[in-house]
Amino acid sequence: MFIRNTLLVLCGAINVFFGIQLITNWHLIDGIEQYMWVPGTVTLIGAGVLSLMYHIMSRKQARVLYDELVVQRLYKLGAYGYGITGIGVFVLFSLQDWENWSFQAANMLLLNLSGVMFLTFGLLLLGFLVSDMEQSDVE
Amino acid sequence: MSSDHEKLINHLRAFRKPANLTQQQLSEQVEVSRKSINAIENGVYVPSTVLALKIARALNCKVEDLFQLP
Repeated sequence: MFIRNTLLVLCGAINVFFGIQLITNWHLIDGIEQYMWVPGTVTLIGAGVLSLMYHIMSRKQARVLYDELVVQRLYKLGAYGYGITGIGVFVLFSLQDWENWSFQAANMLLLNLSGVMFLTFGLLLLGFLVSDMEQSDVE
Repeated sequence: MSSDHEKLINHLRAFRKPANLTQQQLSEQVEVSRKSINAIENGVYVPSTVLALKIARALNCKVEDLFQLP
């Protein structure tokens, strides 16, 4: 449980960090474009470790950790993710100046699209953990 | 705030307490997380048929005793 939560916090925080920087142009890291591989790599490694743990742990433990409530919440998060990202993509495409399209504008659009996706994914992941803690209230 | 879901009235807590089971103990018996039991008791989550049957079996009662339509 601790490892799962730590990995999720790490993935969520890194994605939010990159998402905010890319969308707001508020660069805490110079040349952030060079580190664009970080959020995806961390997420892939996190997903890999969690999948591996799921298959290694006992079946009973796996059923408890990923029971029907968790699965339902993950489905909901996925649906929210599709919806929010779709709106973000629509807004970004609507804001473009298509009359004066350039490679620079295309690069900027790609960075902004990445930012929207990183931010959405990261926030949903952190939201999942927060609601996880809320539901942990002692009876 | 009511502990019932808008689509389901539940008496889980009323049956669990007399059975001297904590949420943790019940969750272990039916193989779900304690959070799931907590969410069902607080009306946050409507369990699947299989889980409702497992809970009823663990508490030695019928599903209809635990859950009712509003």
